[in-house]
Amino acid sequence: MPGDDLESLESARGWMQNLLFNPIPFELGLAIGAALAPKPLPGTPSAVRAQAQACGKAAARCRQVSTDINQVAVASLPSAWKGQVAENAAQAVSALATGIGTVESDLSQAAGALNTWAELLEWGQAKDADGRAQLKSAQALAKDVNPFSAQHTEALKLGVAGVDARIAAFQAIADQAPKTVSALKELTSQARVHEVTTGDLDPLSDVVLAAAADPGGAVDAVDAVDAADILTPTALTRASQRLDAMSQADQAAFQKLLADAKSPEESAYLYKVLAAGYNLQQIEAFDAAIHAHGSDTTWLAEHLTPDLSNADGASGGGNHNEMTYEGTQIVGDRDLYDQGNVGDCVAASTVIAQASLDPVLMLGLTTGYGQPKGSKPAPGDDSAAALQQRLQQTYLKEYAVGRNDDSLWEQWTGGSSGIYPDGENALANNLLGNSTGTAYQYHGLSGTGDRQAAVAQIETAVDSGKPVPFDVTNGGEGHQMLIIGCDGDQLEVYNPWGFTTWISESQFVNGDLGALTTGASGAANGLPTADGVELPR
Amino acid sequence: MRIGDGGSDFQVDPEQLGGVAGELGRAYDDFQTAIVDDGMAFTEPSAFGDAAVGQAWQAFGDAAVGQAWQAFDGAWTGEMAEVSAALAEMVRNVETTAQRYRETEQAITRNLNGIGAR
Repeated sequence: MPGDDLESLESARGWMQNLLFNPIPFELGLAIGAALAPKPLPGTPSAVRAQAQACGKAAARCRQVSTDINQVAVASLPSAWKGQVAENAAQAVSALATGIGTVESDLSQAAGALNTWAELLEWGQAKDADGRAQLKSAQALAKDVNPFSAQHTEALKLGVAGVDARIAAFQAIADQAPKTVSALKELTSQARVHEVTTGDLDPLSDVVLAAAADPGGAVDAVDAVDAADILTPTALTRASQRLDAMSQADQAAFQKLLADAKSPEESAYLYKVLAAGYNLQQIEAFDAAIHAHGSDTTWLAEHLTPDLSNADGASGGGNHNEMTYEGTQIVGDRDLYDQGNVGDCVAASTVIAQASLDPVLMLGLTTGYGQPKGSKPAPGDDSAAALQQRLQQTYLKEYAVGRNDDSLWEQWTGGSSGIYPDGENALANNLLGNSTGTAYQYHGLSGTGDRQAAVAQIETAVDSGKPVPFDVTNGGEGHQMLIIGCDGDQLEVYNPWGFTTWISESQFVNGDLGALTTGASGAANGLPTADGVELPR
Repeated sequence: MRIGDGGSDFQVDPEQLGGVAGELGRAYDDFQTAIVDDGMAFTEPSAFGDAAVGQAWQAFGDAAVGQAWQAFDGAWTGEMAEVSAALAEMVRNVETTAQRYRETEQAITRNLNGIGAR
């Protein structure tokens, strides 16, 4: 293993360093032997480069195919055929163009990642070969030499240079490997059509559902790279499983709902509701509420998904995004989604995470759907003020649930105290477990090692569409936020004060998150350290 | 000839629609070539030198990177196959639609001719 090899090389270097000050007969030869023990850096850069070229060639062809198909969707087909069915056909063709465009984009990015890896591998192997050559020369010089002679010193210096070269090569590979793995994993998560595993839909429907995206934002709530996809990989898979488990009559009824939808986006939201755990009757009721707006994709996006998007993403230069609803950011004196003056950050962040996964909940928040007559705000009122009021009500309701489940509750004196890990975990499982079909588990993070280990699991979770709640502290105060996306080595964080921000993984690992919460009461410099995380199992 | 009055919501030109099916069919063929292009390095064992075909990831020199690549390749191979099947389905749908409109058009023509012959 490269890590073990690196450790061996570092150890050999330390041995040689000691010999600089304490020359001992025969030891230099042994130290050089130890430095030569790790096998040369493995790998075949030319083969990696060949794969990169293959990806690049396929990507270029896909680019042309996507352009050609898009031309059919916007020109040839509408010119030959008009009418409602023709419009549906054009939307399906457009979804194909999008799907193949995604293939092009991902293959192209994979080609870039492979070329970078091949280049580094080639450099590393050359550097390692140089180092081994120096070590072998040093070995020859050191043979039977007096440890106090100039030749011994020369051999020692050559040996140190050789082992340094080897360490540089192994270290460069060790540093780059996680980045390449992360990039490939992220690109892998973009392959979404095959997540529609049900045999009850035809391939074209699979592509249309996977390609359905909200207009406006460029980055989806739990999928930072793909543009505003309505269905995450987890949602695609879970809905497929739930569809397969339905009776034939229910399957037929659900497929009719999809077929009668006015747009691919309406279909995608129905599929998302299925993924969130609702039964056919509930899905039919939901569709009855949104069907009139089925062709208004802006209405659907505004009312069924919280605007957690960050227009440019981390790589596009975007960093901070104040959440809005129908263009409104502030109602009264407060950000629309802000948790307010109650210590209900855990509830507020988890509710928004659930709303990003569950269109029925979000429709309830934006319109009062499902709430009894006489409720305040009145059902049907979809103003920003009504949304803010319903959000506060929901935050407080879940806050109470979290505190009741908190085994340490008796220690609290009420007021605006927060929620301990037990309550936090209960909320994560109640609200997110049901929507994702995955149990969440609390993990304490006691140092950089814990946080580094958590990063890989966080990436996997958010790539698949599962938001990750995490806690920050300054040793006294605490706060919960959500990780909702990743892009390269950047993580997108939702703060329940009503905004999203991109941070680097190293900020997360090294406890440098204070800027996210500057101004927290009693914590002028913010709460810099992540000390707990709720991870999907 | 177009079915529809040109001013209503519905209108179709069966011949032109047949041409659309042809355009999509060519796109399908090109996409098949892209799939072959992408798989080329894997179907050519010599590209990976001494690495056995079944362990092509060894060429990456790092187990984690190799495994990540294998996952990527498996996912995208499946994805391209799904998209290809969807594209084929679209070609068939448009061909069938064009054919049915052609048949409708021929039936209308026969009827009109029949009326004229009376």
